[in-house]
Amino acid sequence: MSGTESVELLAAVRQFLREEVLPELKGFKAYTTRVAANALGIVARELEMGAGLAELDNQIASTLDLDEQAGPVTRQIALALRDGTMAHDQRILTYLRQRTLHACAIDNPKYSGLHQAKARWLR
Amino acid sequence: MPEAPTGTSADKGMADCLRAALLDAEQTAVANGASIDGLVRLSGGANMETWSFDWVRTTETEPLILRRVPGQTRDFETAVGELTLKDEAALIDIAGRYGVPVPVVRLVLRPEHALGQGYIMSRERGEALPFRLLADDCYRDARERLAFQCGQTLGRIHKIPLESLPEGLSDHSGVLLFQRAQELLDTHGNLSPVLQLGLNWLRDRPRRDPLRTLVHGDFRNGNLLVDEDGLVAVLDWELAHLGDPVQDLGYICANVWRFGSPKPVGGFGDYADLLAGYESVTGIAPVMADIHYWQVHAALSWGMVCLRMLEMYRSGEDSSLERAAVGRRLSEAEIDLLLLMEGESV
Repeated sequence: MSGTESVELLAAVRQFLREEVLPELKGFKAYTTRVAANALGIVARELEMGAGLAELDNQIASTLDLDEQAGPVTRQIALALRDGTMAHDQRILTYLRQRTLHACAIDNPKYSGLHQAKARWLR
Repeated sequence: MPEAPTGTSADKGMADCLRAALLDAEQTAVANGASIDGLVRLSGGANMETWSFDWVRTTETEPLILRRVPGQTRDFETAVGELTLKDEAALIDIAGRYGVPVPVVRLVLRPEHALGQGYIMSRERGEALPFRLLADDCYRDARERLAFQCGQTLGRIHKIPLESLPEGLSDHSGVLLFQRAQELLDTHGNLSPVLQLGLNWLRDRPRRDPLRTLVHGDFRNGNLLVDEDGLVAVLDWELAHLGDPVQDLGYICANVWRFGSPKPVGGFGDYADLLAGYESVTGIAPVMADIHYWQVHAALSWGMVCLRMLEMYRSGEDSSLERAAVGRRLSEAEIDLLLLMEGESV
């Protein structure tokens, strides 16, 4: 790709919102502008780390022999857990932990629960 | 529009409606000098609005809050959360009579007020923003007392006799809780195996002989108005329902409502103080295993709120950025659920 990378554009817009726009605002609009800047951060992290989620889903689909044409892997597992046709064994639990760690690292890397979870699960 | 000062045409119309509604409520023809001042929108998505304003008369100025669903609400019985705004106002009124610190409901809107569905209440002093409450030095004493006061206040809420409550409170007791949660997960496409695991975990461990009382349903840092001395008022009653009272105690101990602070109760207090305050009013001391159970439920609820808000965005029911963004907080709820299901309270 030539020219500005997507993540660079996102970072630039984010900085603009935080440093130029936000100081001009207060109350409801200031709050929403902070939400907007955070949302761009999520998109930037997903561009860089999103493939990792798909990889985890593909791995568990092949381990459990799931049909990838039958909709999202997460949905297939959720329905199987609901209907009692799948036990939440160690494989499932490990997958769910890894997937949730990865998703939360994209969505909110500062979340306190993420730090606790890393300390417990990644020992 | 939300932050426009009074004087723009949209807000002028709204101020006129508020003025007429309040004059009507006071049954006074003396309108001279009565005006609506400083009308400003505080928060909310596209559906639920909260506005602050002063009702100025020649003799006094009264700080008020309008909570409403705007527009030409055809169906005045439409509920936003668990309750219609009319029932919410009635419930706040009753809670106040049983010693729960709440704002004073001033006026319940009627269709002829042309302000939508909602009510006007007193604007109490104090801070509801979690980060300020947890960080500012001026709330240091308040933070020390708050967990005990929350326990006391929840005790008072749970002691309100069922026969005093407004009709229309939904029942979440027993298996109804699990059925409702499963319906919600199914409605939102069953996309989270972790939320399903959380629900299975709760369903497999039903509480033994739970009480059935009024449950506030959203009693947490952010919905509590606090001043330098502690709790001033309990806000946001829209999720109130009937169920196991320990739900409220576990809810305020959920990680999501600690806002990054290590203190387990709302980010400001300790379990022992919350439970001592509760016992001082009710004579009942819930055990930590019950608190833990309802912490799991609180994490599941938060996850379901994220899904619900995302659905509101996708359906166009509420196209605000906030709704779209909250959908991405699902992974926080999932992390909490996975941690909590491993064992004791975190």
